[in-house]
Amino acid sequence: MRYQISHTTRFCYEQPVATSYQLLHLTPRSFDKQQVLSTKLSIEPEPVSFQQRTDYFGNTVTDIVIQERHEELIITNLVQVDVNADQEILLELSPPWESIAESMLNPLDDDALDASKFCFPSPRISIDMVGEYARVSFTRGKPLLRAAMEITRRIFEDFEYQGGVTDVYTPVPHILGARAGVCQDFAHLAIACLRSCGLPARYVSGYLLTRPRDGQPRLTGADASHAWFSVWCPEFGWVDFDPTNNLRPQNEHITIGWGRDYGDVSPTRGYIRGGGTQTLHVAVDVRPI
Amino acid sequence: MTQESNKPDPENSIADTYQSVSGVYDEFMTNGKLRAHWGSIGETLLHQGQNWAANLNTNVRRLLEENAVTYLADGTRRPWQLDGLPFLLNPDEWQTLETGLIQRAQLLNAIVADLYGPQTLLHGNLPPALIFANPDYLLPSCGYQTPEGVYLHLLAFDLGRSPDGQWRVLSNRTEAPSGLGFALENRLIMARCLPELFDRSSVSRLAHFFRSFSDNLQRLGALSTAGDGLAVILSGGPEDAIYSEHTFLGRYLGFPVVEGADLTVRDDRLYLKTLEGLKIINLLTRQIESADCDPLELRPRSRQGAPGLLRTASNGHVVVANAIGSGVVENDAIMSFLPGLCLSLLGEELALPSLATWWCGQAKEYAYVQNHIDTLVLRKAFVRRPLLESSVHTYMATDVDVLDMVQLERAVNLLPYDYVGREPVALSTVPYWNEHGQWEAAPMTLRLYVAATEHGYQVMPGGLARVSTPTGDISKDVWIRSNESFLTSVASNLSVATRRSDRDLPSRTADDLFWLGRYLERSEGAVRLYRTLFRYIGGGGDASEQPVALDILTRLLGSMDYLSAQRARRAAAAGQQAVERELWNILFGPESKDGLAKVLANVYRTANHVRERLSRDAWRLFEKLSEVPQLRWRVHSVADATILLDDLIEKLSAINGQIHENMTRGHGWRLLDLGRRLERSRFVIQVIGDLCTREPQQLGALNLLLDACDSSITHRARYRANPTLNTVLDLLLVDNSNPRAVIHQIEIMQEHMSVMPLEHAEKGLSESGRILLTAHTDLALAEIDKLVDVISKRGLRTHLARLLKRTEQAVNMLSQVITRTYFDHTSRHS
Repeated sequence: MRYQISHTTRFCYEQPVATSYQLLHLTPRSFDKQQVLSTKLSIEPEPVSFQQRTDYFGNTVTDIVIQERHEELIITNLVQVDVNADQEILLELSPPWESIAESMLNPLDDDALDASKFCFPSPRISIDMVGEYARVSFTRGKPLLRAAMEITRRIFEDFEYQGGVTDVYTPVPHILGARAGVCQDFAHLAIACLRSCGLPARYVSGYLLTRPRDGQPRLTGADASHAWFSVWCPEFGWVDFDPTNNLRPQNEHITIGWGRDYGDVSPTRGYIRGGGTQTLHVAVDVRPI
Repeated sequence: MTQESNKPDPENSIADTYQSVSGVYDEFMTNGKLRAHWGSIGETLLHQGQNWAANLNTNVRRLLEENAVTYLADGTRRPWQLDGLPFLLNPDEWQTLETGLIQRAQLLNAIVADLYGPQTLLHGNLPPALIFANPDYLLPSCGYQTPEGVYLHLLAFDLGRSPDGQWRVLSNRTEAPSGLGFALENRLIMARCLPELFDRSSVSRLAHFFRSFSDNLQRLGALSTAGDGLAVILSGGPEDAIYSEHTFLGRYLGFPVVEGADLTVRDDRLYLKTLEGLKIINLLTRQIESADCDPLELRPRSRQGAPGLLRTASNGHVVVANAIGSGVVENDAIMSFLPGLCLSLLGEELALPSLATWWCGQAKEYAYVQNHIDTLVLRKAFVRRPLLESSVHTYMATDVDVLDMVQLERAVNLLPYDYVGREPVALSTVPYWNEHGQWEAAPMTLRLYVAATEHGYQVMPGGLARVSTPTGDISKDVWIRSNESFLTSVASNLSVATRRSDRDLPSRTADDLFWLGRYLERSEGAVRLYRTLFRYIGGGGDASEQPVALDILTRLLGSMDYLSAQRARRAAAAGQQAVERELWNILFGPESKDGLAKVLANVYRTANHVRERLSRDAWRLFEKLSEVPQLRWRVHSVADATILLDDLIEKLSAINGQIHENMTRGHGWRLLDLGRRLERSRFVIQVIGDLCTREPQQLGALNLLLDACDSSITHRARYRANPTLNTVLDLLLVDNSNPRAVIHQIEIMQEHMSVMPLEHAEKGLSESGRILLTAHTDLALAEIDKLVDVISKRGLRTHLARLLKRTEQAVNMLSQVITRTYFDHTSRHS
């Protein structure tokens, strides 16, 4: 599938901003399931410094600095991308979860070593208190991917999708208590469950198709950037799950990048001098071409 | 001040009174005899009596106080503790430790270099959990480049001696090792308190170590920018527990002490914002945690670092000492891997053993800890421990806070890699002078420092001994007798570097000085108004004017923001008796938001930020000033209140005098005075605006005005008549020989601005020059008669009101221009 994505982020500040530093994770990466054809990032006001690099996880990062006084910052990204993630997976065929947890303690090959960095608590995902919730799905000998799908379904069923209950700093135990949240909360919770069992799970930031194909329901989270999680399993590699929509992402999810948690791949991360209170408007449009 | 008496006092000497603990290694005595390596030093000390010891310790305390060696704990400033008896390290042991610690420093540096570089150690040498579960391993630091591969520029090691006599490393400190400044202060004080003993014992001096360390830092810094640049110390500021150490090290090394707000990253270079503009920094000695260095890439909301610092540092464009992320090897978990890593990275056996540690992230070790949980000390694996935490407690007690064993086991079971088990150790003891005036044995740890120099790692021939006493930790100076003879005159040249000028005055400090000037003037204005108020309440003014005057004054206080509007109204509306009570609460009530306490707290807070720029006497005055609100319980009457307020005015004048007399006439002083002039103009403008712009003129207003502006005497001397609006406006606005007149403030500000560094950057008149010239001309051309006589139908003196408004706007604009040009450095882009 080929998509055209337009993503506009607009910050409005109560008072003028003198200096603004932004670290952007807005450019989707290319990998085996996805090919980026073109990207065009425009920023208003114009930055004095604009640099692109690859971060620790291989994601594309843009560092910008703006030194012009401004009360509004608009970041627009236009991307064309081919997605080819339609892949049948027999969840039952994955090995029992315990064997993967075991292998993470002494990884035998580079893939396992790479996966092992996603096994532990990270700055925004602590794994206190989730053990009990996780244990229900991670019963003895259950195939890893089946357990992951089950966690995905349970979060979908047990939690209400509701904005305004949480923010990007909400800790996992709090989400458990609130029984509500948005896509990144659900991804964080699922990852915490897997990591509490010693399993490698990473956070994926991306987009969803905005208008579904005929006859299909519109997915939740399509009007903004989206998030889900991915689990590593030998033979299968990284397998994605979307707890917000209770499904395994295929050709309607476009990946921007991944990391240990939201903090590693948040679309914009900034530091400003001045500004007062700020309001944020995000508009995302993803259409097939 | 020598305590070394030639006639030993046989009564109650250490030899007689000191009792070591049986079964524990004592550093001073063994079997009732002095340990051999103490030699003549020990003999001298051994036979000194109690008077000598008491004197010595009193002198030490006095010098600590004089040098203001303090730290903050639970929000209170506490004196640093130093025992008068130095700790003498056996020279043979010193050599073993020196070799072992240099090897350890090399090893740890190699580990850090690998973990942030090729990560080869993760292929078999180190389990991933040891690194990836460690919050001090900062993924954004991967790929970090640093000149000559030095990631750890300064390391500290805590050592303890177990009963078998063997020194063991208790902890590696690689994040931002603290205590070096305290060690140096201890040494300076001990060299003064025991001068003869110190000189004759050929104690190794520290100056050479500091010079090699500092030279190397500056050399590496120069590599990073391929040329000039500043070396600075990045501190968390006065709220940091050991800020006094930062300022001391700064003075000693000649590096300015800066805070995050002083820094800015532009075009992948780090700059210091100074009064003269941006200055490139090539070396940053960091006293803050790695994670706080960059709010953009690391801890999001930290204010201690600078956005973009990590990128600039990891591109090798500024040397950060230690490298950002260096805390990754400062934990208990890695201890048991060091022997293996030493073999594979350096091809050598690890020379100096660590305290036995079992990391529960490995199955076998975890099982061992579970089986020996009763005898081991269980600790969190990845918690870094501050210097001031009780040293012995840290190594002897379990720090896992749990109710019972079952809970503990569950916690460890959930995250085994988060815990280590450690062998308990009965640390060796030393004598210290206790609060009852006796020598007592207490356990100690030894902190030694290793620095990267041009010729490899070097161990500081001295250190910080920490003695754990029932009343808290006490430090000791560490003496190491040098085998080489050296020239005392050269080696003892421990002079404090004095590279201090206003050239590199950080903008934040300049900003603080500017605001100190403003707050000082504001508090003086407030106190003057309060005093006038109490004079009227006390009947000092004309009795017939009293109620009106009170009304005017309370309104005035309100409009000047010294009193919230609500309270001012309430006070003004109440009757004569109630007014008094209400004002009382406002001014002296401990809870009052508008009271003296708040006004003075602003002064104290700002002064604290620039403390190192104030003379000691000036600082004492600030401390006294901050104590005044606590004296309110002594205030029982109007007379008391007036005395208190008089006293405050006196103290404020004394501070002004100190600043005027003792501060060098640099840009810092000018900014402070600018702040003061600016605020004084605003004050006079506002008071005139409140009292004189409306007709009819209220009774007594003119006397009040003169009083509040401290110009009554001047007026009397000049006019020898009762004040009229004409004479008062002339005196307070346009008479440039009156030091309180607005025009006088403008002239002084013109003088200051004309020599500020960035004023000549543009052609012609600078922005501030234009603002001030306009304001000056405006005032100079004002016709007093028109100001007084042009009155609108609604009773407004329109000319006067407009002139005041224009002048106030000019003053406010000037403040903005100063802020933009000198503090924010954004003017070029606006």
